[in-house]
Amino acid sequence: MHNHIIPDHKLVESYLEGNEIALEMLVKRYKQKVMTAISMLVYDRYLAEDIFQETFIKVIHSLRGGKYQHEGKFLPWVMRIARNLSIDHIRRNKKMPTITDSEGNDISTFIRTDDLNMEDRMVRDQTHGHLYDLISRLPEEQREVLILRHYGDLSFKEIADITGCSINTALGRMRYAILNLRKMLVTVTK
Amino acid sequence: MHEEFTPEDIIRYAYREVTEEEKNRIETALPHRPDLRQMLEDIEALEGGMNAIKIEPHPTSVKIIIEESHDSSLHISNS
Repeated sequence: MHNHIIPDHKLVESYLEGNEIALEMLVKRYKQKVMTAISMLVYDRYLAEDIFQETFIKVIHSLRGGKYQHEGKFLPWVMRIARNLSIDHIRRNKKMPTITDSEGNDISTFIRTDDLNMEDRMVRDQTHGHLYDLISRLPEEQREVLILRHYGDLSFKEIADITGCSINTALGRMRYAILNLRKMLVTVTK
Repeated sequence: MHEEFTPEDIIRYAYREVTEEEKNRIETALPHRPDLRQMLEDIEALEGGMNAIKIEPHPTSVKIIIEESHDSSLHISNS
């Protein structure tokens, strides 16, 4: 339950009336949840920063273009945009051709690798590192349901709608995410 | 004889996606179902763990967003 002094829809209204501070308040209110969710969807700190910016820039243009219909659900709406952009990036990266050196090695593995590892390590150390690592090992569909439900405050019905599955499938994915995490924890602590 | 509930029912219960009637029925069944209680405990532990994961965007990212908002506002007022 969110208990903000100024509700989201009031800030949206105020922003559309020209109050720039209202947008700043919304970004500051949700930046951590949105960034955490994106980071756990793509597991790449640099890419997550880009998607975070892209998400809120899209939010700004959608608000100004009158595309946001208030139903008291600002965060789930933002999270839907973040999720779609994250999935687009993941799919695009999967389609990228591999560039190899003269010996056939994938050169992307040499680019920024040290930096990324350092950044990822920093994220892990600054947060609840162990669980962060375990969630990264879940199948994509299970991880997605877990993240959208927890950080995005989307209902299982809404998750089913945006991921194109039935509500029972979304609930089943959540169930297996929980079971798999429990199994991983048991294995790690043995 | 106790009513049958699935782990998915407990997930909906944990995330407050059940009706008041379902909630009462599940709470009546829980003391008799250690498997469902285990699922509920797992969800609560997971929620606590996920709440502890906090990743902040870089301040530059927030600055870029605020600037974009300002620029698009100027664009609208000039057009």
